[in-house]
Amino acid sequence: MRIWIAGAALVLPVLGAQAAQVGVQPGAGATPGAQGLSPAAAVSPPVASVAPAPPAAPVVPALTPVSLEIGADLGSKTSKSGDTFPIRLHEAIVIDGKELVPAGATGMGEVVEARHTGMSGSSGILILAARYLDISGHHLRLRSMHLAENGTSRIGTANGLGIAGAVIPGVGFLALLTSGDDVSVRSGSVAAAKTAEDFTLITSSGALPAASAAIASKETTQ
Amino acid sequence: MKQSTLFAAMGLAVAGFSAPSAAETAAPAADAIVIPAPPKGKGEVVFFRSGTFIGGGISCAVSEGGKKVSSLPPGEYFIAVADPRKHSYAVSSEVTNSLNLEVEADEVQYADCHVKMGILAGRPVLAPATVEAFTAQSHKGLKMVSASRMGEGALRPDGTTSSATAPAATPAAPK
Repeated sequence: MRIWIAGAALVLPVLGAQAAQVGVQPGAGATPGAQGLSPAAAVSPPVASVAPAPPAAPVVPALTPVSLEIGADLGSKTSKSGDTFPIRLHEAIVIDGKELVPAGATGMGEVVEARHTGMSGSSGILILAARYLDISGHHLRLRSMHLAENGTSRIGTANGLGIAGAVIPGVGFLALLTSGDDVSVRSGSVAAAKTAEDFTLITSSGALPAASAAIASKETTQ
Repeated sequence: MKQSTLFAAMGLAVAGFSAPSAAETAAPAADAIVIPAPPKGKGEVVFFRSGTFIGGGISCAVSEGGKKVSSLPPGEYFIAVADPRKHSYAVSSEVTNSLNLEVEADEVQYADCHVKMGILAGRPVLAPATVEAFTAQSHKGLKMVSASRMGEGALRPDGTTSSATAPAATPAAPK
């Protein structure tokens, strides 16, 4: 009898060590492991021998505000819809006092709309969107960068000249030649955006948590 | 005598031209229009057009992918409910003018249509706008486009859209 109890006491630390290796939550993973034990061992609460769970992987929640720096000169005259441009994290992402993503992380933005000034007073238009930041090879998707700029429109002036052109010959052509202003965004300009979804950061062991793995697999299929 | 009659007629003419503007300034401003929040997971684009008489006869019907979203007569507005992604809206006359917008989930954006002078006829132009510009126009009495003139994806006055992919939005004033 004494020998049997001593054997059970030896088995328990081994089970505890196995549970710790896979990072099982306290009280959750010990029960299945105890199924193959003798009745005396199963009755003994194994909680005390299970290693504490590793700290949860840090998560950048969806809709976290981020400050971005535009990495190229853009303009309604020089850019084209669909062009991409570099962006850079201007200020570190800090959650609950912890810096999760340091400033300087790079990523990509896209020119959603670029329209050069036209005849009859229409202004230039430039609409930009932030797409993602590259965090350790994975994309932290971004949204809500509303850096939409309109140049000064002179459509009212041109329309006025057009009306005058009905009375005074030749003035109508001035209306057609009137143009608005173009828009430009200088490299280094700072814009606000938000994160598009929860993003779980990679743990120190290198394992990719489930959420990030899902994101990574989605990106590779696109 | 003839001269005084002439001056009187000119005075009347000037008064006649200026009277409407005086009446307009005296009229109380209309209440600001409250745009309902987008359905969960969707975004909204509010298209509006000022009530100016210039180009009033030019159509500003907004379409996407060749499908009509809604007509947009002068002094009216409509709300397009859309999935969050890049959308390309267009208006057509002698040439087509399109505007790419990034629709974001749970957010409202604004775009206005104005008519500029063309070679043969006026040309409608779509451009991004601000909530302030929309509010300023709403104080001048913007009205929602009637449901009969709306196409696919436009939010009806009763809070529904015709598109099967766009579920009904929460109306501003529930029945």
